Amino acid sequence: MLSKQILMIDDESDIQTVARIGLTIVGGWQVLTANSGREGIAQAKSHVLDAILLDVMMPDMDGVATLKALKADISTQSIPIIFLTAKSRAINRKELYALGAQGVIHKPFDPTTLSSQISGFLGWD
Amino acid sequence: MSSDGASTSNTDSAVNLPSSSATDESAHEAILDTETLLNAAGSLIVVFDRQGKIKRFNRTCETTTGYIEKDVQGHCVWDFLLIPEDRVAMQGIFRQLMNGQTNTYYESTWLGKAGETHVIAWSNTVLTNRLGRVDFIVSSGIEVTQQRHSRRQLEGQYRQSHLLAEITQKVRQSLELEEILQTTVSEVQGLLGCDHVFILQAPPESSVRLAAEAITTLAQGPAQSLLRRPWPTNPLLQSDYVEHYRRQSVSVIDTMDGPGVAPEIVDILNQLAVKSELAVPILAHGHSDDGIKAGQKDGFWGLLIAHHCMQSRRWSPLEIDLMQQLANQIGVAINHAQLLEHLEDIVVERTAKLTETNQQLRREMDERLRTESALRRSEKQLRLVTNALPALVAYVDIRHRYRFNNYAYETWYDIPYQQIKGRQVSDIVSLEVYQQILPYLEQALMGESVTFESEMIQSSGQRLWASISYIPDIQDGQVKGLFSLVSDISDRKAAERMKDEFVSVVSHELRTPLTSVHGSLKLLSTGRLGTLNGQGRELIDIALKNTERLTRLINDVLDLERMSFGKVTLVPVACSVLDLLQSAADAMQPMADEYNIQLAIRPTEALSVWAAPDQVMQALTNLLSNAIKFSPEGSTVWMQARLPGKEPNKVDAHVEFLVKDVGRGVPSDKLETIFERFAQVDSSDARERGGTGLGLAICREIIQQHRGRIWVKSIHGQGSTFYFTLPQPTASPSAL
Repeated sequence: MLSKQILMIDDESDIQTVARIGLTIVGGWQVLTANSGREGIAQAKSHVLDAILLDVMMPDMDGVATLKALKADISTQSIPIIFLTAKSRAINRKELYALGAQGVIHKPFDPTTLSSQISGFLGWD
Repeated sequence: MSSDGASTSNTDSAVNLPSSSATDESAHEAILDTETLLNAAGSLIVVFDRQGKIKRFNRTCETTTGYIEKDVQGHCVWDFLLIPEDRVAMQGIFRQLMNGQTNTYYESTWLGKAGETHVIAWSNTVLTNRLGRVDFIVSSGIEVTQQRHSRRQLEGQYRQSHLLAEITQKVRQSLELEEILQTTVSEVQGLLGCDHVFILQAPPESSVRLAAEAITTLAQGPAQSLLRRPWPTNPLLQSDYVEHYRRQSVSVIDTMDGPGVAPEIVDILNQLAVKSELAVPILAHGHSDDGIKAGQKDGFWGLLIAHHCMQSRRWSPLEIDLMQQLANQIGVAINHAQLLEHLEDIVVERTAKLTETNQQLRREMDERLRTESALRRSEKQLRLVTNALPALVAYVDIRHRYRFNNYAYETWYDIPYQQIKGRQVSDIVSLEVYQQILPYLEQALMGESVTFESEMIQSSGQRLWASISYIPDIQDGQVKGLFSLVSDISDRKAAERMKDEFVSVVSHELRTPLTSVHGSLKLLSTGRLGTLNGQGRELIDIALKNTERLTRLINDVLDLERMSFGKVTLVPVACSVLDLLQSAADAMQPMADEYNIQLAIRPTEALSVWAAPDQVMQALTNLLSNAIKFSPEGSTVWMQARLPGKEPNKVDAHVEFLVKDVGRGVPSDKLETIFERFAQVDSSDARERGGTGLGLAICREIIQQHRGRIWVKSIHGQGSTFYFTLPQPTASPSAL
C-alpha cells in the first residue's frame, strides 16, 4: 500500500493524537491535523491530500458545514471525506452519505484498525 | 118427467109435485121405481121417508158399504150406518131438512159392513106435496175419503214443517238450551198428540238426567199417575234404558209385541203402561280437548223420546222424520251452548292472561323506573367523580359520537361540556389531531385496547403532549363503543426531553475522553511504540479491557434510553430470515472463536420478516453474545427460525427465532426477570463476563417495538433457548 497523506479535523486534540499515531504506526501514513473546520479548509487548500477524516460535532463550524464548504470549493471538492461521529448523534449515517461523504466511522474508533477501515471505504488496497 | 107434471129441482131445491095427494103419491112411486134414475149416476143416492128411514139405497151405496138395499130399508142411518160421532149431528141435519131448509151441505162418515169408514159429502133434495109438506128426502153423495185423508196428511206435514222451522229458528236465535229443549218437547207433544214427550241426557260419567218433558193433559186415571211418577224412581232413568239406544240411529216401537223389540225395553215400558214408543238419539260433537263440558266421543248426548200410553199407534215416516230432524236441531243447539260455554271459558282465560300481562308490564315498568333512577344516580356520581379529574374522560360510540364526557373537555376545547354529547369526535378536535387519532380510534372499535401518545392542540392553540388510551366497550362479543382517557403528559415529556438531552450530552462527553484513553491503550498494546515488561503489559490489558466494558455500558445505556423514549424510529423492510441469521453468525464469529464455541444455523425455511434489520441484528448478536459467554468451551450454539407449530387452521403471522445453548441455563425463578435492566443471573457476571446487564433489556425493547414477543425456556444446568417472534411481511403494520 502506498503512503497516504490524510487530514484529520477534530476539535479534540487527544483524539487527533491517537488517530494520528494509529494511522502513522499501523498504516504508515502521513497525518496532518486541524482543530476546527476553518483551519481544516485552509489546510486542505494548501496540501495535496488523499482523504480527510472529519469530526461531525464541532463548535463554531461543524462537520457538515465544513464538508459543504470543501465540496463547494473546486480545489478541495474532489478530496474524499470520511466522517467521524458519535453513535448518539441525531443525524444518521444515510444523511451523511447523502451529503457526499465516502464513509462514516463511529467513535470510539479503534486506532489500530482505523487505517484499514479508511482503506476499505476508499478502495485502497 | 115434465110431461107427468111433476117438477124436480136440482140439488138443494124443493120439487113441486101434483096437488092431489093420492095421485101424487102414486105418481111419485112411479118415479121412485125407476131403477134407471137411481143408478144412472155414479154417486151414492139414498131416499129417506119422513121418519128418516131408508126407502131406497142405490147400487153405488151398496158397493160402497157392503150392505144391500133390502138389509137397510126401514132402518135409520144413525142407527147403524153412521159412525157414533156423527149420529147426533145427522139427526139435527135431518130435522132441518124436514123443515124445508134444503141448503144443507155436509159430510158424514159411514161405517161399512166390514167396519171400514167412508167420508161422504152430501147434498139433498126434498119432495113436497101440494101443501108443501116434505114427503121424502133424496140425498145424493160423493165419497171423499181419499181427499180428506190427503188433506189431513198435508195439514200434518205443514204443521210439522212449521214446527221444525220454529224450532230451527229458536236454535238459531236463542242461546238458552233449556228453553229450546222445553219448547221442542211441548210442541212435539201437541203436534203428534202423544201422551209423553221428553229428553234424557246421558253424560259420560254421571247418571242419566231428565232435560225436558211434556205430558198430555188428557191422560186420566192410572196412566196419569204413571206419567206423573217422580223421576228419581222412574225406570227410564236407568242407564240400561238409555244405553240400549246409544248404538241405534232411531227406535220405532208401534206395539210392545212387535218384531225386534228387546225384552228388557218391553219390561221397562210395561211398567209405565207405554204402548208405543219413538226414540231418537241426540248427537252433539263437543270440544272435549278444550276442557269444556263435552259430549261423548261417539257424539251421543241423549235421547228425544215420544210415548203413547192410551193405545198403541203406528208411527208414520213423517213423524219419525220430524223427530230425527228435531233431534238434529237439538244437537246443533247443544253444540252452540257448549261453544258459548267454551267461549266464556276462553274469555275468562284471556282476561286472566291479560290481567297477568298487565301486572307483569307494571312490574317491569316499576323495575325499569327503579333501574333508571339508580342509573341516573350512578351517572351523577360518575359525573361528579370524572368532572373532578384533570384528564379527559369520554365514551365514544361506534359512529365516533361522544356519548359521555367530563368537565375537562370544557377547559381543553372551550365548549360547554354539556354540549359535546352527541357530537362527532371530528367536530371537537382539530383536523390535524383527528387524523392522528383516527387509526387508533378504529383499532379500538375493532376491539383492541390501545394506548398512544400524541401532540394535541387545545382551543387556545396551545400544544401539549397527551397520553391517550382507548378501551373498547365489548358487549356480547360486539364492540359498542370505547372509553377514552386523555391525560396531559406535557410535563413528563419535558422532563424526558431534558433527560434525553442530558444523556446525549453526558454520553458524548464520556465517550470523547474514553475514545482517547481506549485508542492510546490500544496503540500501546500493539507493542509498536516499544515493548513493556510482563507486568506492564498486564496493566495495559486490564486498562484496555475495562475501557471496552465502559464503552459497551455507555453504548447500551444510550441505546436503551433512546429506544424506550421512541427516539429510534424503526424502519421496517422485508428481510430474509436466513440472511439475518447468517449476518449475526458472521458478526459473532470472532467472539465464538475466542471462546472456542461452534456457531450453527439449523435448517431454516426461506422465510421473511417485516423488521428493521439493524435492530434485529443487535438483538440477535446480544443473544448470541450471551450464549457464547455462558456456553462450555467446545460446545455449540444453534440458531433457527421457523413458523411456530400451532393448532390447525390458526394462521400465525409471525416467524419464531431461537438461539439455543447448552450452558448453565437460567433458574426458573429468573425466567421472567432476566429481561429487566441490570438483572443478571449472577451479580458477578458483569464483572467476570464483561456484560452490562442491559443486553436482554435492549433485546426485549427491540422485539416489542416490532410487536413481537421474547421469552426463554431453560433447564438450569442444561442450557437455555431464547425465543422471539417477528411479524411476516404480509401481516406487516404500516409503521412500527
